[in-house]
Amino acid sequence: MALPFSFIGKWDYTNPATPVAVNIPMTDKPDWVFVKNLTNWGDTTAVTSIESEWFSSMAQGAYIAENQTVTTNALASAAGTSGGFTFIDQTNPPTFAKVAVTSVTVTSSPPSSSTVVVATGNTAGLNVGDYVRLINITSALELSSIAFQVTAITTNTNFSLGMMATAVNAGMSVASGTTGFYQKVYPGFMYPKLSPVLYITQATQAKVYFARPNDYSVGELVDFTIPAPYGMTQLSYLTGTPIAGATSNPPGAARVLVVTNTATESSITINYDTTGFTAFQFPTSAIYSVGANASPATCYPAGSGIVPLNGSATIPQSPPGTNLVDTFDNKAQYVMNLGLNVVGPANAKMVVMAFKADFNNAITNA
Amino acid sequence: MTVSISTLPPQIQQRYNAKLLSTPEHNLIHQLFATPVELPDNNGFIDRQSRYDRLDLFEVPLDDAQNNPPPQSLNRVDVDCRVRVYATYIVLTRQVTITNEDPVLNSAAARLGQSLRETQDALQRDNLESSASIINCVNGQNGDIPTEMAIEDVDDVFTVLQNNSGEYITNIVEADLKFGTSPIGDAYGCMLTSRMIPVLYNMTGFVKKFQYPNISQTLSTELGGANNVRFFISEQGSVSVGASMLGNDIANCFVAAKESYKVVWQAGGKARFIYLPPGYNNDPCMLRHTAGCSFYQGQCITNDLWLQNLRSTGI
Repeated sequence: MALPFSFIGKWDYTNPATPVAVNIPMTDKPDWVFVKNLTNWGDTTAVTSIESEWFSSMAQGAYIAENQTVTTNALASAAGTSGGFTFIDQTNPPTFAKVAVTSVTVTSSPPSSSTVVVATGNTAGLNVGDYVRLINITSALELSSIAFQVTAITTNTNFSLGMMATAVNAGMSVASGTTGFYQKVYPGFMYPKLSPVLYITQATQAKVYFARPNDYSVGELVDFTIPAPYGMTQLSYLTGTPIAGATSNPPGAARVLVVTNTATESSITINYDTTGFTAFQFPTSAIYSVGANASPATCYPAGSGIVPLNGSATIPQSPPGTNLVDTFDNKAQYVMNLGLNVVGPANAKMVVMAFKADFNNAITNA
Repeated sequence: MTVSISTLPPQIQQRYNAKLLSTPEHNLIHQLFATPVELPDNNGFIDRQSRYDRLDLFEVPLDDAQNNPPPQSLNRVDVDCRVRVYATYIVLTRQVTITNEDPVLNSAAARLGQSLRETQDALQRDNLESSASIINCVNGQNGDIPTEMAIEDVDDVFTVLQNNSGEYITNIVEADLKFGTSPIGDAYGCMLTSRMIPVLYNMTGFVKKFQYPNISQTLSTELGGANNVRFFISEQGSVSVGASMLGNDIANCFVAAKESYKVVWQAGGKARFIYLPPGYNNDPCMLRHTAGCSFYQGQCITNDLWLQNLRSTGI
């Protein structure tokens, strides 16, 4: 308390062969952050930003740094306004301008080669793993409002929506679009979250595909709202459903048997037999844009159930147990994003330290 | 020296008025319909409540052989809610508190209290925004998706909640022989941003609160009602920025039936104000006060059928 700065924490990471931006979760808002390169410090390698710093009075994305020069291992001061430190308060995340899109190309080539590529001349600030929302895409309006995860980027040319491509591989049918916009967004931080549904298979254990990593866990109960244009309305509002019905489905909400969250697939398998249900069909742009058809198909948390054994719909894990991972929770964090100008060179071991200024009279006069 | 207004010293020119100006405070609406639950101390940090699913109807009579019918399964659903701890504080030097004419610590306590309550409300708002089922308004005329809210959209969400057996939050406000008034039906509660006021006031069938036959059982945060939904507004209502089809802001209007969501407080962790005088926390020269507040809270949707996010543009 009496110190001018109090210690928030220390983190270490080692860069891969191709460095990517790094998110550092923090328990408090920092006033001073520095990153140092432990691998190259003091050697004779020329290294840009061998040490980088950010103070809370600096702009988002800015940095000051010291570059190590060749052979002399002398340090030279440097500074930048982008690609540096970006502080993110997940409860009040930054907002981003929408960026023009020239096309959204869906190439259907199941079972494994489908692609969804968004062409744009501007990918500045976009990283693999970011979420984007597509806005007013001509001929593909049905993709509006959905937050997709970016799975690959070709700088200032295009980016890929790999999770949607996986849904296309599974049977999602959607036309390509032309012009419109994309906008980078941050997802909500409460857990588990609602997820728009891209596709649901007709199977004895239906598989549900999403556009971004899902929050669900094995044994969790999930429910759905499937509007009429999407077909499979039989899955809507399962909670409170007592009747087994012709397909012998269990009462109430569907239970998650398997969860897949990989770099290009987000899906869950549920204990619901959808073989007799109407096929899930993403509405066309024309149908979606007609008033009454415009609510999204969504999946959302509905409670805890028995945790199955290895994805079995009938055998519980042993000893039996219920799911606690699906507990409603606040997972908000403070995050310091280290951009490519400060994250360090390939294969370097880096250390990050963050501090908070405590001394404050707590009264300011504007 | 000539004495005039321009030569008066500052101390003479001004008086410090001890009556403080009001600080803007947000309407707290998102806990209005939450079921309050207390988690006893020393019982973990996750509150689990359970619900038994409905049983099937049994309309087929037994035959004359009087054989037992097949049994039904009793199915239980658990809903878990984790309680988290929230805290903040301010530091005031003793120099401030002994030189200011204004009782700064009193103001600190008031502002901490406001911040605490608004945080509690915002947590519930964010929970509803993240997890509630979505229905887009589609009956407006602005060409966006969702459209601005229309009375048909209010009726649609009312129908969904009725189909899902949601119970009303408030009872009917009966008609009365008063000019310009209109009755309000049994109603669900809708929590929404104050940016929706123009949309609601333009909506056919919207009854402003002052047009209720009887306003004795209303809250200051209530704006009015339409058919079977009553609307409660807040400056910190939920808005999804740029999320519509055309990139406009979307108002997330949470329509709740009874027992659709809850708030959990820890018995020993209820909202509290914490004052530490100079001398604490490595302050050997007794230079600083601290004033802080903390609370424990969890929030969750307890029945997904009974809480709908009716999304509207036009704000």
